[in-house]
Amino acid sequence: VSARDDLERLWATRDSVGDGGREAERALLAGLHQDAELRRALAADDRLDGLLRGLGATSGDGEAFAQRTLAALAIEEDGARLAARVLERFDRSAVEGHARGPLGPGGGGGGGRGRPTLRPRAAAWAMAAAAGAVLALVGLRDRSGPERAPASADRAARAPGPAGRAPPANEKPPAGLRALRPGDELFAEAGERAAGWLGPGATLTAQGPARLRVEAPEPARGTAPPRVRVGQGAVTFDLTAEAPGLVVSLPDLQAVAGPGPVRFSAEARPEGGHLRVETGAVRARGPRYAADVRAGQVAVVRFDDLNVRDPVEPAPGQTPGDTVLSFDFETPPAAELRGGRLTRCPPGASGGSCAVGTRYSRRFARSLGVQIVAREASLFRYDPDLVISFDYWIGAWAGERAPRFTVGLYPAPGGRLHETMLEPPHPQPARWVTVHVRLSDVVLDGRARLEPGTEVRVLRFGTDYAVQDLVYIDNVRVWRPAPR
Amino acid sequence: MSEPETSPMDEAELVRRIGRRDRDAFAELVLRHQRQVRCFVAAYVRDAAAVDDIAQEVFLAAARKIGEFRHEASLATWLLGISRKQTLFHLRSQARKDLRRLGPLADDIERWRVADLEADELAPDRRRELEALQACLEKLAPESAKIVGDHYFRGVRVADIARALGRQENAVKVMLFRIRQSLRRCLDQALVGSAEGGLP
Repeated sequence: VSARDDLERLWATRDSVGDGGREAERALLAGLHQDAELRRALAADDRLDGLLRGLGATSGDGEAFAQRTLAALAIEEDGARLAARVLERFDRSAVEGHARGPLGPGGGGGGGRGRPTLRPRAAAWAMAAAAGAVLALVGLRDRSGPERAPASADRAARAPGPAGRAPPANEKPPAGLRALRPGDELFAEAGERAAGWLGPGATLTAQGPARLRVEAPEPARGTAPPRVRVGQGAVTFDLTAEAPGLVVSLPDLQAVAGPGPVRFSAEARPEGGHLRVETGAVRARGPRYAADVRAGQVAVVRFDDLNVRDPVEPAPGQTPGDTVLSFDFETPPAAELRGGRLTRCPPGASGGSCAVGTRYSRRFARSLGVQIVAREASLFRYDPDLVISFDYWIGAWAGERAPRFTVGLYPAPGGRLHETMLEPPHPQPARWVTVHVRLSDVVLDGRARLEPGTEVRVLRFGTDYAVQDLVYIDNVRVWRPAPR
Repeated sequence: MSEPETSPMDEAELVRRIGRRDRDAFAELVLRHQRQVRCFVAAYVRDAAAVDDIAQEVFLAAARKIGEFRHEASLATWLLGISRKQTLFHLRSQARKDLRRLGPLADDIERWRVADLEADELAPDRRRELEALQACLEKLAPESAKIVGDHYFRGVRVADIARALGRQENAVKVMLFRIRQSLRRCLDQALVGSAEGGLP
């Protein structure tokens, strides 16, 4: 066996974890620096390895990739259209400003309503967006004069649009709420909340970052509330029995509220609309299907399919004993999330959850999966009594193999992985399944130990057989069972 | 498994329709070229999710810049040019981010990838490479073909392959390396002439 054979063997096995790993790496590095030809050959091997992985990963999922790319194009075009609208409004404001002279807070404009102005940052954003920037948050602030509508206690932002109509005198918004009229757009920045009144018995609350537009009702709907198009973020609607029939449009999803009192939230997510009904019922229409969504249920569109699922709470018998949710993630996950994105994070002071979704409905990353990483502090502290739960959804899988998951914990980024292999139940494709993992089942690898109290910095979800599968992970939570 | 051949007329019509924001035409573009673009990126980027992100960005950039396409080269070559730029951008930004996290060997490998890509002039070989590789795969001996198929196409872990074969995990990794070496030789021959004969 030549020295070159030894080096090639080290190269071929370089990702194996072992006590001699560092020494082997040093030997390989030294060899590579001395032998340029070997170095070229191994670089070519590295590239061929990548090509083969690419061939494997792309076999049979071309249409799904095309669908995801089309969805991404739609999102990008939506962003461009928004930019065009903002620019149009900006231009109109500028023209009006020239005609009427400069206006500032409380000044000019006679006794009428003040005109909306773009803040410099919003204007800069609009320019950037016009140059092809992606969707971003923009605020149109009403800096009107003394007769402007009473401001909400929250930092709401609005601008009357060209189609606005004055509400009849007998339609007054409740104290602290603004009347929203057709043509108005409402923005709430991150961390802000903006509330609005759509008509008698119809209010909405947007949790920033959020963006919505109020549109005129369909003529045939008579006195029904206007239609609302949610372009970004989550908006909660409260409708009394007097105001059924509100139509809310989301990406790939339309919701018609009622009959009867309804409270529901609508969220625009990159992969499509997401609807959660708290009370009453909503009729949801996806690209191909329609379904009734009742109190406690969630509707979401995945690959043109409208999925309605029950609330993600542990069903009796799924969790050990009587469990209560006492906390979610101890620390908001900092930044890193590979293969997915975090929503609704950080949780509020009284708890909550961090949900993980994969962008553009893309295939789960085979090698890395989804990693939630907290760099500055722990996500939670290891305790064998804890339970991690998550929902998963698989569109298809190869052959007869059942999907297999791994759930892994790292004490720190780069630390040694502790993980467990799961073969969760999967009655049929395209159905959500909730999985609960007792941390007492997590297999320790024998080298490093997870002691009770050890800070867990990284939570990883991986899958072995997902070469062609489309997978979502959602509603990741950490639960602490109640003492028995 | 090769991508469908398109006549220049087809391509010109496709470009015109994409320029008119025709979504069906854009979908057609993606379907025709996704494999070549994704494999090109995968040759340099190991994170499968990042590969799809980059490939997606390639097609979005193509949709934005379709007016700049001059028919001087084929659409496939033009897309590979965008892929090269996007991949380089990704590798360089990753290198900045990962500076303190990677070990010296991983750093070296990343540098090879960047240097390889920077030197890549996108010769016509690149377009033929996938086709040639598939032809070479078909020439593998049954045992080698099974190992490659299990590992790269069916996603079976090396440990599981080793268990099934009754071999050590590292022995299977070395086997995969030797098979890749033979594929490399076959590929080199195919790209300069014709690939004849069988492979181990």
